[in-house]
Amino acid sequence: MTTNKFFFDEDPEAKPESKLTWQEHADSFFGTVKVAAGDDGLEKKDIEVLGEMKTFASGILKVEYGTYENNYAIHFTPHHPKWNLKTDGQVDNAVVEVMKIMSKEIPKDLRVNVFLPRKEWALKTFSLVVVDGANAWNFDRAAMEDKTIPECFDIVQKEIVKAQK
Amino acid sequence: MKLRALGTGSPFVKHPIETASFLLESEGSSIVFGCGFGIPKKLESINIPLSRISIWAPLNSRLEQIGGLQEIAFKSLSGALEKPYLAAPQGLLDEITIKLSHIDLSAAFNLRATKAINIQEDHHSDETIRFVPNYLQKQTESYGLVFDSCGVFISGESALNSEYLHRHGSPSEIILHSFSSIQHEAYTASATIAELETLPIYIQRKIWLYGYEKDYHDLDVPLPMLFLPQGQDIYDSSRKMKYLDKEKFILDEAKRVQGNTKT
Repeated sequence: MTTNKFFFDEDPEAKPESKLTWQEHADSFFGTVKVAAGDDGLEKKDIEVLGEMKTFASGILKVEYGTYENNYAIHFTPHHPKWNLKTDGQVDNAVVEVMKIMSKEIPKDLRVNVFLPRKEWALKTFSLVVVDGANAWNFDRAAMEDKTIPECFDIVQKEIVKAQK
Repeated sequence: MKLRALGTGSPFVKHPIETASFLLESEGSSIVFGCGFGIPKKLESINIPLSRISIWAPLNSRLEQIGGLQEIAFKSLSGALEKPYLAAPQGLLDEITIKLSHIDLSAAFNLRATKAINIQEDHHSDETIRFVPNYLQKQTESYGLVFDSCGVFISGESALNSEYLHRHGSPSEIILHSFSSIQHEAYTASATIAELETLPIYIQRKIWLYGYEKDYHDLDVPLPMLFLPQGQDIYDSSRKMKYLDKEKFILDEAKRVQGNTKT
């Protein structure tokens, strides 16, 4: 992570010469996580202190979701390196499946930032951030939490199980 | 975190007032919104070296917002200055690239197409500064600024639009609105004072006006709106009284005038 104390929200119309670098994308994401969870990244107690993130988990997968500032974030974290998405292709499949389901619930005018795992991470965690999703009038967060996230949870679990074969 | 009015004048204003520009200073980074021809000189005159500015962020592509970028670009290209960021929404960056086509902007600046800048501070709450499109002219990219945590809203060079003002101004503590005394069909200008006086009083109470000429002292003050004084801190998170306060400002001005007239 760089020492910058500022992060840009990229304009979706950005051109190649004005796009954020990969490092800036990562800084932006980890800056958000740092605020939410303390310097170590994903300490559960700190997430609870924030008070707006909810968690549910099975033996192989944990999902954290909720509002953070103006955004609505959903983090998928496999529990164990063994029960994991092992290749980039498997991660991509899981993300695509999740997006298929979420696109029915998330209004078309809200931007969704997808954060994929880094190569060196043992746990292939990935996140989706609905920009301005915390307050958008046309975004039904209750339906998201009651119906869509459990559906996505099942799909990602199935992808993880598939990845073991 | 401190937000200061570097310049508060119209596009054609004369010394000592500078064209509209705002400086945000935070721990580890400083941003200048609007960089007219006189702004680099103004920064140095208040002892802020250009090297301290991490991000230059114009609000439209008129020369009063981008004129000073030439100096920054040439200093950056010559190596006298570390390559700073030039951040704005993509449409505005495109317009600036056309207007400053004699400069290789991508070599002089780290161009970043952005809709919002997030600032992190160790000792204060984080700040998100959003570029919001305003109403200068349909075919022109022009933006205002919303500071989410500070509660400051800068209209940018904009015609009067009460929906725009209500949406961003109602949740804000302070509104900085530009106005223009030059009105001609050939020149797309900001709202006039007479137009702004038609706004509800509770909005007017929050408004500080900028975009005036050098002789603004001769104008009648359109109370409860006041003219934003140049060089003033609009927001300072380290102070007990964080915002520029109208009552205190009037009292201080009265004391100053009284002091000046004493023999």
